[in-house]
Amino acid sequence: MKVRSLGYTVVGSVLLMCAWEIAGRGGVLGRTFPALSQVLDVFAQGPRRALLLRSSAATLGSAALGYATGMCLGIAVAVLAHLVPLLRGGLDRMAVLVNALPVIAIAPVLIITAGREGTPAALAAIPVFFLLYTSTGAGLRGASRRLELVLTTLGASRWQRLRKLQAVAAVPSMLSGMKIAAGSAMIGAIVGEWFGAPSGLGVVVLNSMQNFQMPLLWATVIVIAAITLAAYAVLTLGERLARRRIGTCDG
Amino acid sequence: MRRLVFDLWPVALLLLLWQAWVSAAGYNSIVLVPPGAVLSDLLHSPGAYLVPVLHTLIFALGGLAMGMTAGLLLALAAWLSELLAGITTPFALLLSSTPVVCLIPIIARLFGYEGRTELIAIAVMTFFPSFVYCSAGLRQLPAMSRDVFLVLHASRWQTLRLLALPAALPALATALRVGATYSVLVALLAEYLMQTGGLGALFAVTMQQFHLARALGASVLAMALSVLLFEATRAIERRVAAFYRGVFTLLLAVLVGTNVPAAGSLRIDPHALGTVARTEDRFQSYNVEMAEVIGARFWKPYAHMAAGDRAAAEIQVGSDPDLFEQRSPLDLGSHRLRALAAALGPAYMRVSGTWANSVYFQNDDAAPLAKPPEGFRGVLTRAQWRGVIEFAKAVDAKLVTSFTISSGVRDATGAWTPLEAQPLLDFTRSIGGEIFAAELFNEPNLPSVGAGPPHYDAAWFARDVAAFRAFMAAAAPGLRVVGPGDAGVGVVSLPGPLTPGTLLAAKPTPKFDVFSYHYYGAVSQRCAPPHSPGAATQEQALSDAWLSRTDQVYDHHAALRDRFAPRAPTWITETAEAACGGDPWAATFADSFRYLDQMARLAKRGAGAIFHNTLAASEYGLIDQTTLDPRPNYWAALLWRRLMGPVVLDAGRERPHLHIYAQCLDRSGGVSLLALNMSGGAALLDVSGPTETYLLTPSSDNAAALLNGRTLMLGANDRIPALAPKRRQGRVILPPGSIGFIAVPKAENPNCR
Amino acid sequence: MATLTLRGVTRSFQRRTGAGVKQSFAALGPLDIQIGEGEFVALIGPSGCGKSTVLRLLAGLDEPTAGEVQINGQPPRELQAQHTLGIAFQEHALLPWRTVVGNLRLPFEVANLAASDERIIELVTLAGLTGFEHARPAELSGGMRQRVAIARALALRPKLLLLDEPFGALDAVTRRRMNFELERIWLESRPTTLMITHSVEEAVLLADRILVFTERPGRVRIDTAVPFARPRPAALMRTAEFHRLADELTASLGPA
Repeated sequence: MKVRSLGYTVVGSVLLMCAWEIAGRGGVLGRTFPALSQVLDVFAQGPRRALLLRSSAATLGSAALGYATGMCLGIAVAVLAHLVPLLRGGLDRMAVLVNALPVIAIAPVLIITAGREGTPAALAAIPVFFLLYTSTGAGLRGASRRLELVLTTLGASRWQRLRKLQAVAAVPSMLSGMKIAAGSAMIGAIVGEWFGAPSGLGVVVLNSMQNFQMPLLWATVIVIAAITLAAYAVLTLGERLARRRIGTCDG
Repeated sequence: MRRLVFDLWPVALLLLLWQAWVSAAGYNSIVLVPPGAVLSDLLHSPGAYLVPVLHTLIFALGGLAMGMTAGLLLALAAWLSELLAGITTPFALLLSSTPVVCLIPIIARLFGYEGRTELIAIAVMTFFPSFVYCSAGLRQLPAMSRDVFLVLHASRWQTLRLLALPAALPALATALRVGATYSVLVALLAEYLMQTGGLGALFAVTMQQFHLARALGASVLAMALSVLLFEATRAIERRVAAFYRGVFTLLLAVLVGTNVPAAGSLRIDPHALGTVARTEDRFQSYNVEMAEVIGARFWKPYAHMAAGDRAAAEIQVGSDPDLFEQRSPLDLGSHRLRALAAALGPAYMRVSGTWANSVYFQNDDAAPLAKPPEGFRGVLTRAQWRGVIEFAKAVDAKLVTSFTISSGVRDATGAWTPLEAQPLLDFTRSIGGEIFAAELFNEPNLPSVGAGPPHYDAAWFARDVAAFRAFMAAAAPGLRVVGPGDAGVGVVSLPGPLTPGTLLAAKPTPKFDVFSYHYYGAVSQRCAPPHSPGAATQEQALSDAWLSRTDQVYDHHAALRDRFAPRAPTWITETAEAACGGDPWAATFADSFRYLDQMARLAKRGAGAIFHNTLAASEYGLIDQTTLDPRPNYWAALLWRRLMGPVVLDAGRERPHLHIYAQCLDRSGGVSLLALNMSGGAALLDVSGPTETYLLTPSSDNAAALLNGRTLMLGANDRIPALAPKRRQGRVILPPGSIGFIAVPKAENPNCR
Repeated sequence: MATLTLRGVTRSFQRRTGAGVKQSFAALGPLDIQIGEGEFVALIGPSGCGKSTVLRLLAGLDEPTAGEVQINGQPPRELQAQHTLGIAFQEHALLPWRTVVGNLRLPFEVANLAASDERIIELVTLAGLTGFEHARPAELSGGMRQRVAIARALALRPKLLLLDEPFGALDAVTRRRMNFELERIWLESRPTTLMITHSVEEAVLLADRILVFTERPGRVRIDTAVPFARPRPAALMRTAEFHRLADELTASLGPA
């Protein structure tokens, strides 16, 4: 079964690429849709390659910074909400609100505070914060009830329970959140760059769109997709390893 | 509601920070304005916002619908065809890893800078979570159900329709929530970039004009929209999840939110129930007829009756000899009987009845007399009475009795003398027993039945009571005199001129320490033809109208009590399903409804004690007289004993065929609810707080009771089984024709302390 | 009713060893079994000896590697197509979004047959769940759910009833009670029945015939008849004959 579906995936990918090539050559969707070969050609050109490399580094830097910040904040606030149940309701609402803040609205504020260079990282941090807050919270609460009772009977304090049981049990859920957050961090960074960052993949997207350099635009999109996929794959592996170690006893 | 407001503290905090920031930084108004300015613009020019808000909302919802549908369809297609599944995987993967926001420019170039691009962008964004979640959901089938469907030989399409699709609904709801979050975001970005209308465009335009207050107003509204959609879809998601966990909800309630109880359900807050009355701790009590003690003629069980014995032509009250059967005395030493009765304690036990009116107490240890002396109709031996006293002690029951009033104890003038009462009292005391209370005469309004003197009238009764009181004042000062103890049967007026009113109005005015009467809602098949006004079929007897007769009769007597014995407690010293031994269905589960409903009603009215006739005799006994097996009524009584305390609460108005009552569970704030569902449909109770439910349902032949699905019966050695409740949070479901005792130990009702 | 024939049946699976080499191992067989109409047969044996595989072969959920499986002279898929197969597993596999009645209607819907209200009420009564018609599985106890699952398996009056450790997930007390319930239910229509169980007592209590399997590859080691008359009273479990048979069988389950 597995072999068969892998086969289909390969077939499907090949079909997709062929269709792209044909559609592009035939100009079916206008100039916006160049042929696949034209797009791949961009990677062959030296200066273009260097541009993409530089921009990737800049964007990755912002995304990583935002990711780390958002993750630490998200986990910290989730732990706080868990230890002080009184605050949980309000913190939940706040997290939802923060996540709902329209990018376009807070961008001007961020530009003033974080500067044009810092905005991408800040916009990356926000969705990461929300995702890590909700997934960590869910993970902390999800620890098997029976195990919790055992610890309580043994006289474990709230802090001990957190450390020994809930924190460990929360890891799989946290990793799920981290997985999804990778993509959100990239999006945040790129959109942040649209508001005047000096360099980055988002800048390249905007410029190529305005200068109607479609092959470059598509090539940049492919690079973004590739980076996101790679991050996703790494984190998925990590999640699988963690799940195997921690297991999921529902007890 | 309170919690909602409380949870908004972060919003207040953010606003405060915003205001503080603006004031402190002293920004120019083209950079940032304080919240007040934004609010002011929102309030003063709502028209400027209206169209953009609608635009964004409609496009967001439209794009969401498109994306969700596309995701679902593709997931279905992939489920049906492996080839399709394989092909779509790389495509979906690619889409997921490309920030859709980057695709907006491309989509814009492809489809032009107009509205439909916005829709497409949102659809593309929401397509992916929908596809992923639906695919997963279609595969999360109940364990082994796929195999069951294979064995049922279901076609692929049937499996999809009947199994996979319903199983995927929770996943779809989750996808909706996730998609909703993104839909507004993408809408705004698209509108900002293309300026095709909506809040995003409004923002872009007003920013260019440096009209910051309006720009931020647009942002605030966008945020509100986003939060609104998120909360709405999360509520839907929760509803669907709850549905799949097995809680019955209406589809409509799905859209309304999580705090609305489903239509057809009742909401009860045990904490807030107020008191209505108080009963005694020994409220639930029972009778053992004197006929059972001495072994006399009592109602013939239906099983022993020949076909022709029944169906009297007209109502009669206890005179046809064919309706009676000689029975041996009840074995009050029986281990089983004592175990069962003890479980119902503490209680009162009344040993009385028609036979008590004419019993001769043989106050010696010689062989029992074969025939009672002249003027008496039965013989009570010392051994038998001793058995009664010891039984009462063993099961923690305070003894209530009545005394002989037949001609054997009357003097030449026909006055009552304590000829039998004195030796009985003396003997009782000599063996360490005590008679707590006594009626003089069992059912004085039917003197001919009760071996009273001929031409007995109210004045005679009054003189008898006076003599009785005088005797008791000297012989047993602590004994409570109970009366009048008149017989009553529903709406049928009994033959003879004596009514409780006339009895009480006679002179010298009879004085009673405890006010009592007897009540039967109907007359059984032994004594009444089926369609006579006194009879009641099972259906009739479980109707709200019939059940409420208890209240009417009580009120009638309460009025008399207030006139003639104010502040005296009220006891219903004899009651059961029907007079004359009860109908055949009195021994089945169906009678538990009547039994509990009557007790609960009388508790609400403030009655002191209810004496069920009988403990273990005839069809209406709690316990089968031959096998001493507990009947369904017994278990109902046991649960009442354990859960319903003396403080009676107001559980709200009566609903047709669904009667809810409440009493304090204990002295630590706990509350017990009693719900009788006599309707044809299930009833839902939304009870705040963790509950312990004891659900009583009938066995298939109605002869036994099940507690939470397990048949109730005695264990080895006559052990009462452990009555284990089902612990739930909040929602209790009562199937049609069931009884639920619901204990809420943590209700913290202040009236229950 | 159904007569079952397994002739020379074997079932092997492919497996990868640690070294990455593909290897086939025999899970079952060769088997030669004949089961007659209306027989209640219990299969007992050590874990992993292929009892469930036998059931799956008979249910048409699997194909033998070699040999023939026939029910009334036809392959099991035929019976499936005729909707005359009933199966219940250790997991009740009830649809959680349907009520008891809804779950009982399922076989009718799949087979495109009308489900008369009388028949549904009959099934509800058979399961002993009167009053719970509109309850969802989540509101029922484990024993009650299994009763619904078994009633569902009997809904279309199957010729063959297959039970794969139906009471394995229940506590001992409920399980014992369900044993008697199953006999009561079975006596109603007496379909040919094959039941897998780990409990020797359960097998002796319920079956007419017991097949004891060896370790993998599973073969029939013992084929013994159970001589007790029906209906079997609870008192049977206290008799010497019962214990003798149960002890013999338990001993036979030891190492080969």
